[in-house]
Amino acid sequence: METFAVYWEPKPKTYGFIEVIDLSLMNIEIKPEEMGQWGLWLMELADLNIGFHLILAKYSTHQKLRVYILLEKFVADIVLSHIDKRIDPESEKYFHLTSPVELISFQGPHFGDRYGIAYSAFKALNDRGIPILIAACSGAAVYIVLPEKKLQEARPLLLEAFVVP
Amino acid sequence: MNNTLESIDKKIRINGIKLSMELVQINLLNRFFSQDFRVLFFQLLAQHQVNIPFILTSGMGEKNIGSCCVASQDIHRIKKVVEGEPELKEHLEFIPGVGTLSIFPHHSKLKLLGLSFYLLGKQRLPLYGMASSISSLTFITDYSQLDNAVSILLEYMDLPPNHAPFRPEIHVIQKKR
Repeated sequence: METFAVYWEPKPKTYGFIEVIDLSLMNIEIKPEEMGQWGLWLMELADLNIGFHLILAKYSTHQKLRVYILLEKFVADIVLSHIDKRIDPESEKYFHLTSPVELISFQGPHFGDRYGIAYSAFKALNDRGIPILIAACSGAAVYIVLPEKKLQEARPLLLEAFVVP
Repeated sequence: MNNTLESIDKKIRINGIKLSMELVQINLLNRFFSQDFRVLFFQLLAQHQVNIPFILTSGMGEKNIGSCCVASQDIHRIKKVVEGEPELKEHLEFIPGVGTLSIFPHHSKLKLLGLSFYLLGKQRLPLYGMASSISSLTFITDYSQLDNAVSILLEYMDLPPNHAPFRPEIHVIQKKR
């Protein structure tokens, strides 16, 4: 059975923007054979009550995964010292921390089912040369991680591209 | 911190697992680290009313600057659309026959991610990407492996009674009149 609904909006509507500053972006390159071990280390960090704002893992090269974990800046040192004790010095070149960074995220009705949402967001920022460190559109949510002090430039551009209640 | 291995002996309670229909992953490669064609790609798909339900992007310094998943029935249309942009076309890599598995809720804690990495990594299940959302962790793997992935995860994760992994039966499609 097919049901048709008609809906019109001049710009995509969101439920509002969430902004977080003072974050750190951890970036790890993981080989497939290391994934289990990294899983255990991440569980150890969970035992230390380390939370996250965003996780993104992307196929890199030679089957490696590049994993990004967005954390509160104040826990970055705990994470670094914990991981430092576990990885061998050779692996350190596959481990980076960018800090501080900023996050803007938003969600809207059926964003995961609709075309053009990513284009609206990327175009708004790209046209004004705002660099995006990482971004994820998953489910009905859009997450954009920006370098320090770029959130204040990005906010009005996204407000122009989307409707905020 | 020796309790980690012990702690996974206890199953983690989750509220649900959602599986996607068959998808195609498109990786946007940056062979010459020069041009950002992601906006062009998103623009072309938006103009042709193609939804991209899952997108991951990262900085220009990487070889793969973006990965996205589209419905498998849209792929011929996408290939036709990019045909007119030869430079863009040669930077696209297609991985057919993938699917997504979403587990929720993650409560913004690393436990569920760590356990998933541990279990999927131990079984060498291919993982082409993943991202968190408001409450879920979504993993991309082979479509044919989705049921296997569920079995692997449910060894250490508990669904509520009378709950089973589900595939949405209602599909929302947006079209311009």
